[in-house]
Parts: sequence; structure tokens; C-alpha cells
Amino acid sequence: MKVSSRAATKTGESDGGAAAVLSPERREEFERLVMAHLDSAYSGALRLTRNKTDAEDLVQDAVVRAMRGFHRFQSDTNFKAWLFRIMTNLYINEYHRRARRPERAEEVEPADLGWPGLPADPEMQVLRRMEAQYLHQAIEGLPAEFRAVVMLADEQGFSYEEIAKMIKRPIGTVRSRLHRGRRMLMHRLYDYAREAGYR
Amino acid sequence: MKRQPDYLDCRRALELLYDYFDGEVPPSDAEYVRRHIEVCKQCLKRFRYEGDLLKRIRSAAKKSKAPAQLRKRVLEMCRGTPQK
Repeated sequence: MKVSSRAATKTGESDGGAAAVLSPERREEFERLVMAHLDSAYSGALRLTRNKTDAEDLVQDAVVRAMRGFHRFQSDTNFKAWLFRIMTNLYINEYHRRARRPERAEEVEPADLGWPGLPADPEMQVLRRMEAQYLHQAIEGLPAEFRAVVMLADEQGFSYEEIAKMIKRPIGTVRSRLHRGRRMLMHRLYDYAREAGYR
Repeated sequence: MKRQPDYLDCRRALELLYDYFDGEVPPSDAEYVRRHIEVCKQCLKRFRYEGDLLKRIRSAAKKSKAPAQLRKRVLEMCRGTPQK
């Protein structure tokens, strides 16, 4: 079957059967929910994989798995959080291991990340004007485990508790990764600003 | 007499900073932060700066549209049939 052959090849699963096991009403409900959150899922996948091809594959694989498990999904719970949980786990367990773009381990900040010096007011104005592209670059440069929580919290708006369930880690781990990730971002933005001659 | 905030107060407020912005603190801690930044200009400045940065991270969030091919393939998966 040609449908989603790339994704199916990766998971070793076929998706045709998954659609068939759902009743027509449940299948329609699944389609409505998944299409409503497809842009968010793709945006999140793009952040995780930093690669359009992998992002598309990741979303497709996540949809296949979601469809297979949809009979266990309760309609009154948060579908987006559920879909992201499947996708994030898939990424952590399968995609991250064979990332096309290797993580730049040398960019990982030292364990003790303090606050950078608070810029004086004129610099603050300049930092505000910095292009969004710096932010994108800075987020993309974060190591995967920090990038994932920053994406889930700041870009997708999930709570610490939801993220903890998604990545199967305690809330304390989510909190520390998110906080460290943000501090890394701050440091990087600050460096960008300096390099760009804003100082 | 009202006690002047000291270094430990500032440290506690800064420890709560991200949780505060994320709405992940109990009401008593949120109240502590609000009271502290009312009287501590340094921390107020830090909170404003961080709050502004978080706002920018959130507003610069990558909101990409799923490519047409992906939409098509996902629809196919949902329906179990190739779409025209």
C-alpha cells in the first residue's frame, strides 16, 4: 500500500488496518481531532527533528500510533497533549537515536548556569528589537532534551505535569530542564546581541 | 515595622521566577513574589526583563503549516484510502 509508505517503513507497521478497526464514528472523530492539531504537531516535530523530512515522518508515525491506540483515548481528555505524548516518545526512543543532524555536544553549557548580567536599559531595547530568527537559531541550538521541553512549554503551552507525562520524567526534571533551557537561551541571545555589535 | 528585603529574599524570588511566569506556583508563593518585587527594584527589573524575554520566545514560537503532502497522507491514513 502506497499510503504513508515512508512512515510505515520506519515503524514496520501498516496503517490501513488501524483505520479499519475503528467504527465509522470514531474514525471521523479521530480525523477531525488529528486534522485540527496537525499544524501544531508538525511545528513541534520540526523543532524536535530540525529537519522537514524527519518532521513529516515523525508526524505520520505518531498519527499511525495514535490511530491504533485511539480506542483507549477518552474523548473528554486533551487530544493534543495525547498526540504530543505519543510523538515526543517516538522522537526520544527512535528518531533522536538516528538523527540526521548530530547534536552538537560541544555546545552544551556547563552544569552551573547562572544568570547573565542584566543588560542596562538601552541594551534591553536593542534586545527587544532582535530578529525572531535569532530566537529560532538559539532554540535550534539547544541540546535535544532542553529543546523538547522548551518547545512543549513555551511554544505549545503544555503544563509541567503534562510534559512530565509526555517525557516520562518527574515534574522536577521537567522544571529543571525547562529553566536551564531558558537560561541557555538567554545566554545565547545575549551572545548574539554582542556579536551583532549591540554592545 | 516593615522588614527591608535582603539577599535571601531576592534569591527566593528569583528561584520562583520561571514557576511564577508559568503559573506553576501555589498562591502563597505568587503572593510572596508580588510583594517582593513591589519593594525590590532590582528584582522588579529582572522580572520585567525575563517576562519580556519569555513573551518573545512564546510569540516567536514556530507555527508552521503542515505541508500539503503531509495533510494528504494523514487524511489517507485516517480514511484508510488514498485521496485524489
